Amino acid sequence: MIPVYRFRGTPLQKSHPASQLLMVLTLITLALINDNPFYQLSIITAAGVLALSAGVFREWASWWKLCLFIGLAALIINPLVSRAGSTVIWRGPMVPVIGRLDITLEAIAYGAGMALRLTAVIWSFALLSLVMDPDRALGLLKGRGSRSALVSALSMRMVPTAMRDSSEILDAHRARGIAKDSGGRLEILKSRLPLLGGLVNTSLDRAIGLAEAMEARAYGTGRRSRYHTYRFSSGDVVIDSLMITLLGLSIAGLAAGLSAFTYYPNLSWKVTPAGIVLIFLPFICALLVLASSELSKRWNWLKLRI
Amino acid sequence: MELVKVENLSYWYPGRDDPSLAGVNLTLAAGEFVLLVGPSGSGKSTLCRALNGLVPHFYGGRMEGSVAVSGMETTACEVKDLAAHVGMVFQDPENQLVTENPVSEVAFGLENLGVDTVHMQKRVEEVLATLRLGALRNKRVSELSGGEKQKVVLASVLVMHPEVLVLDEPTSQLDPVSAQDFLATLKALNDELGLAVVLAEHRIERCFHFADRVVVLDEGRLLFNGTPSQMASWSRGKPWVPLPPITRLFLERNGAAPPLTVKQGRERLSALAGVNTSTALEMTGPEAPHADDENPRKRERRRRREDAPLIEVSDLWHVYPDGTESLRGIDLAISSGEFVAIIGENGSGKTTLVKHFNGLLRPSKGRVRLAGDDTKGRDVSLLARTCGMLLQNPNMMLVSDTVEGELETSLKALGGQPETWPALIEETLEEFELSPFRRENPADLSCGERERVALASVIINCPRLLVLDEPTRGVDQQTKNKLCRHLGDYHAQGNTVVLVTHDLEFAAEVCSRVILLAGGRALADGDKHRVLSESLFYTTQFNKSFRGLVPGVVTSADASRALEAMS
Repeated sequence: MIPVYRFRGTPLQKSHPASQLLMVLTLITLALINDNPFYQLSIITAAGVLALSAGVFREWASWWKLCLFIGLAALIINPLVSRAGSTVIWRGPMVPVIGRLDITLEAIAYGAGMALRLTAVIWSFALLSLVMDPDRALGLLKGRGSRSALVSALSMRMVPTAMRDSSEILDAHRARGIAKDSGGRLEILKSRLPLLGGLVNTSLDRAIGLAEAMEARAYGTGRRSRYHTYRFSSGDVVIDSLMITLLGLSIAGLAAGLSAFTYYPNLSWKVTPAGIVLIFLPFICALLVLASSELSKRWNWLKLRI
Repeated sequence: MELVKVENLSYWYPGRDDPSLAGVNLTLAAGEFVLLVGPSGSGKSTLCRALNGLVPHFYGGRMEGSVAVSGMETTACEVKDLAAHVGMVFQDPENQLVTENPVSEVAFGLENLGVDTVHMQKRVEEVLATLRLGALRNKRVSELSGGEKQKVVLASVLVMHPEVLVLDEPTSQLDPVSAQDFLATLKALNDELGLAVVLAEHRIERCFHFADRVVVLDEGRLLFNGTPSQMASWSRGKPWVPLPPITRLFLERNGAAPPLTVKQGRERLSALAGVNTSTALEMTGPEAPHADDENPRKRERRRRREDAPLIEVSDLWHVYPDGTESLRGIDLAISSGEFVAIIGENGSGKTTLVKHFNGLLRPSKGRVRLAGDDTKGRDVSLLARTCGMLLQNPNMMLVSDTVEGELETSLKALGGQPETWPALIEETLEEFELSPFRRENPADLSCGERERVALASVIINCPRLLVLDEPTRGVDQQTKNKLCRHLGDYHAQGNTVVLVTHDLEFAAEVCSRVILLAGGRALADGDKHRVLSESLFYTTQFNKSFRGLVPGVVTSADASRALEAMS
């Protein structure tokens, strides 16, 4: 089961949703623009440190299965389909459409790099889903597109309900022998089709009930006011500054070729002290967020100011 | 001063020829607590919705007469204009919550009214504190219990400072403890804030004495409007009118001024016994309620010796994927022909236990045998031939477009001889009084009728073991009586029935054995008289009333005999 947002009361979870969004978008952008696998590793580690800081490390780490599955797929598929690379480590047979199945060291390395990149992106999204309160996130849209925000909020709220309903309907059908557990896949699938009808009926009933309840609470009266007002705190400024600095330095370093990593035709990486610092930069920024978070927990003076 | 005035109100839902309300006249003064009772389909929900304008604005249809709230005619203004005057709480909290956070939920109505942030925060915090919901502020709505959800809904209505609170069976989806807590909160709001309350409710034993007035509806007509005492007297000879069991007992026996609560009942019984309540009246003779004193272990050994059990559960543990240990080492045996009730608070493992009987859930540890065979590795559809199960919500069981089709689907699903099906279907339709609805869509039937269709669709396959999970939740007395009769008939044919329920009055009337679960363990198991008499809370109103005066009184028949002996 995919872990969902739970309030832990940590400074990172309490920060402004825009800051949380900026933090995660920075990590994703950096993962997408930089090819260096060590840089990807740094981003993954940074995401882990930020998850620790938000008090959601366990839930964040539980996404490892998805990361492993997608990462392995990239690692396996790329060497099989890529003909680039000069270091052939295994000469395979001729395969229709693909041609000769030569496995090169560079293609394996590129596959590994892609796997790390995908892992970095997935774990960054996981971080976002565990740090950002969905209601607050949608609250950002209030004013502009408030109706869409409400529809999205309702959809998100109804997901656990719909899942529970479908599980109950399936149990009811299995108990009657209508939904089968064994036999061919097609037979099982066919036996479970009435579930959809039941789910649609239940969802429609719920939708009517909800519409009624919303109208009874004056929905649609006129311009809505906002209960939650989001102000940027000093803590948000710290996060935003760190992320903007990280993004700026990383782009500048990349433009200057400081962390350039070449896969084809041969693996090459020019190691420089500045390049090493650049690679560690996401991790360092995450550590600073963790440090400010931990300090504010232990030091009331700081807590009141961040 | 009249806060609400309903004059000669009649209402027809779109496409219906029969009115759902017919010439209803009703007034409500500020601070009054009015209890609305009547069978399913009597018009309670329609009347509730007429008070805040949902009828006719939301539902359409035709309305005659008038409804005025605080001088505003509901037909002349919109539902949203009435929202600040009439707060409405519906049956299922799941269908009323809009956001995922309780605080945002409470603020939702005020945001709609455009109240400024400062005032809104003050009102929200005030309501959260009044209803003691502060601890939930950082939880997700999906993490809350049913009772907590319904309290959040109540808070979200109260925050709008309504003059009238209208509640349509708000406790029908709650367990007894949550229901009691919710109703106590409601009474406190009525007492302390002077808030006018209109409460439509089936479980009236918990709120009958709260009410200043009781209104009885049937087939859309207002039959009675008066105080609870007057209503009790008026109900004599009308068994369909819901009354607290102790009230009904005295009413049918002595007539005038029956007690309305357990406390009043005990006072009357003590006076009758002519002794202090602490002195037990010894009942002798063949008519004394039978208390079974046999040791449960001895009984278990005897039962095992006598015959092989239909269900045998050995050291059953169940752990859900999130790590919750729902069952912790359950041992029990249920023999053929038994009628067993499984009771206990929410989360005690009742539903989890019975879902092991037909393989819907598999043991994490331990073994379940059905008719001597281990359920491990056996298909649910195979086990369903021996163990039929009626789950909590009958709507979720139904798949066909007609009642007849529903029964045929059941027969088809479990195989058998197709040439026997028409006769079986006819017989079942007749037995469950469903023949008039045979070509109707089950979704268009009333709640009680749908419950009967779901039960019939299980019983038509004649399973040796019938398991029912909360069959009386949210149903009226007439539906309960019919269910009681059907289950009695089925049991009399030599079948075994297991009932999971919070409805102890119903369990006591129909079952012979009671198993009390708590924290995934069986705390008590034995004859209903013994188990229910030993419990202070998990027992019937009769037992609470006769406790210390006559031992072992749990059913209405026991109570009648005991009262007769005392008289």
